[in-house]
Amino acid sequence: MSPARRHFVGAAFDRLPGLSATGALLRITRLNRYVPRDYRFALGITVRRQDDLHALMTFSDKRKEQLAAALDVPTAIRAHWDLPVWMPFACDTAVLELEYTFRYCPECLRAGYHSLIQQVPWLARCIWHGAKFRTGCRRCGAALRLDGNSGPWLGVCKCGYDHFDDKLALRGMVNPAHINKVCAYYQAWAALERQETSLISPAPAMRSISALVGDIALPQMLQATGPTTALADERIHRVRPLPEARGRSGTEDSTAIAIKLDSLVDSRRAMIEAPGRLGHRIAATACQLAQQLPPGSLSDGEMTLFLEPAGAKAARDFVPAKRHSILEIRNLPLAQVGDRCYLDLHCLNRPTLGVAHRLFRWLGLEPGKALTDEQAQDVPACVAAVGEILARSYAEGIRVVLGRHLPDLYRAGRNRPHLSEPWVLLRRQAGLPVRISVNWARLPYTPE
Amino acid sequence: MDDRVQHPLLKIPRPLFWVPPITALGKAINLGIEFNRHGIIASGLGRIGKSMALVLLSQDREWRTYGCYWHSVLPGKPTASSESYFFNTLKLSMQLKVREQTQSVFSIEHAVNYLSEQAAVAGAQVIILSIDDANRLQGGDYDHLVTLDNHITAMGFRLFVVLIVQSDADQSDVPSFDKEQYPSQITGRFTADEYTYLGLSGLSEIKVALRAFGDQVHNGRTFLQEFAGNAVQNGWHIDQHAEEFVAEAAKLRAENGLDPDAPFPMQCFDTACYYLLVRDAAGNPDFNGFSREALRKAIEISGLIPIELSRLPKDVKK
Repeated sequence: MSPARRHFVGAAFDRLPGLSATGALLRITRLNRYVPRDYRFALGITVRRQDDLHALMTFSDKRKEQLAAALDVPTAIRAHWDLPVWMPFACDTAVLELEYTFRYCPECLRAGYHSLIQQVPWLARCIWHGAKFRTGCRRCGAALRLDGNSGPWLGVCKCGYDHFDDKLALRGMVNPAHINKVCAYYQAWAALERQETSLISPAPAMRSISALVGDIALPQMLQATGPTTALADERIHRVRPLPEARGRSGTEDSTAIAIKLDSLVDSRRAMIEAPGRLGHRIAATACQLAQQLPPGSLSDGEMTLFLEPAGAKAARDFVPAKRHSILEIRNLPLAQVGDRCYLDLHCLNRPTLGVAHRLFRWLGLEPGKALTDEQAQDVPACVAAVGEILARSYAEGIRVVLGRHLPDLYRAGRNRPHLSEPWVLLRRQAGLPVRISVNWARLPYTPE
Repeated sequence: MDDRVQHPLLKIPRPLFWVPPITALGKAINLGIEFNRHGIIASGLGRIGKSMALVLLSQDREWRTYGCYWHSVLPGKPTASSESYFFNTLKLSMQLKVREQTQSVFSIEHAVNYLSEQAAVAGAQVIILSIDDANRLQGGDYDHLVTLDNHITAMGFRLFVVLIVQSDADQSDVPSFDKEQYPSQITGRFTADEYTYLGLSGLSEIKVALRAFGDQVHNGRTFLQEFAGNAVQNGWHIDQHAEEFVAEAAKLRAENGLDPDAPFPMQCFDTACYYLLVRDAAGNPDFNGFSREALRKAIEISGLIPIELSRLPKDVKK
């Protein structure tokens, strides 16, 4: 005979399908009037005062297991406690921890309900209440944190506003059957998407999966329930690089380009041979920037190096800088040796370069081995995406390097130095070539 | 293994069955809820069947005219009753975690939240809190019941307290709950309705109880079919002995100087029925009805006479 279990108020989880571990802990804490030291006494969980309970109960498998064991949580509910099952792409769990804050529907939270579906950035409104998701207090707008030392005041903002209503929480959600249906539908869709879609993110990243908002197409059922889909951030620039059409004059074979770019896999490389199309693009970028710089920015020699690869010449009214050439600036443009162009990788943002590395690794090319049919099918798209990443990263990188020597560049409008990081989604349906989209998310500040 | 070994009548505790006094108490509770009372005080002699009634009323839902969540509590008897002690007792009865040090205000809310949630899960608006042996409650405990009532009302539910009092608990003629001691906010809430719980009174109730005992079903067979199958096939039923049973009980009482028409305690009735069916009828293949001797022996074994003698005032016993 199994030992008699202790009861907890708020643990009738069958009326709360899709409930998150955070939601479970919030209910148990509030409805049982637990103080912080009770977590260990009643639930067997060790919590420090400064802990963010939401992050802890999302990413700590140990805490989740302890909570599930203490509350005797049904397997069906426990399955909803892992954030990756709500993601429509396969990715490293560490990526999900970036910029992770407590996001809630005010109406759900009043009823003591929180689900990880509310954490996905591509949903802007609650599916059940239509209320806009929030991260801040309803009254004062300050970030609502679930601290380890809140105890019976968990869910109460520092301004005193209580986001939790005991009466509603005791009664649970109004229509659990509908909630269950929506959660099951969403998870089935996400599981299917995960089989076909992978995420390659910068490491270390400064932005989060919110960069992918405009790139995730929600299933029909969720769109039909109302305007739940989040609008893409205007600062996110989404590009879907297209493979170059075959047989176009002046273009290289994709496989030949892939062999040139293969050296990217070696992260210690300082230079790579830029394939034709990429070389043209980089040369044009450097040329355009050099022509737009204020008078007296570049020396004669530097100007020549910037313009030559694009076949351009300095304007007649060009005013050279009254200083010696700087080696760091001289290395920025493409280096031409005969008919080959070499790109200095030093000016490229390292996390961005890492994305290009991993994109190539994903392709699985092995030196000396013939390409498989699948690889041959994917090479053009991959090459186009890597080209896009390198070209944009170069365009941003040379501005940042030039900015160190030419501070006036920071007042130059469009040419103002800034950095972005690429969040790449790869979608491959069986039998079809991979489709790649690159979401450029601007960094909140420009590193030195 | 013999199927009979697993028969509920051969296990302890034996199954409970509906008898007229329990039905009457259920009706009284329904009326109390209907007429907006907050409680009822039911008093009765020891072993008369009050606890059995509570168990059956809490388990069975068919008798209820309103959606109710039923919670039972057994009070302790501390030297001094405090709010913390009262609500911790309540929380322990709910199997909630009880800390050594808790602010009593948290204990109140914890207990109230539990009752409210259970009521919400059951789709009930009324929470019935039954307190068996309520004669053990101390004066302050009624104040705590008022606190509980107020909190539950604030949560949008109704509390209905069933206080079961053993009227002969202190071996004196003074009633266990003296209304004069308490303010009207307590007596008005919980003891506006008083109910005297009696055992099986008269031939008709004994007959109904015998029928209810015999007609209990296990694995598709009544208890009578299980233990006296041949006799049942010949048209026999245990309730045919109701008159003889009452007569034998009256005779035995009279022989011992007791009131022959006093109600029959349920605890004794259950034992007598068990003896008759399992010990007398089941072992006899030619059984076709109980003899007068068997009925008399069953009543003797049930402990009716010692129990009723123990209730007599001390001076009468001498």
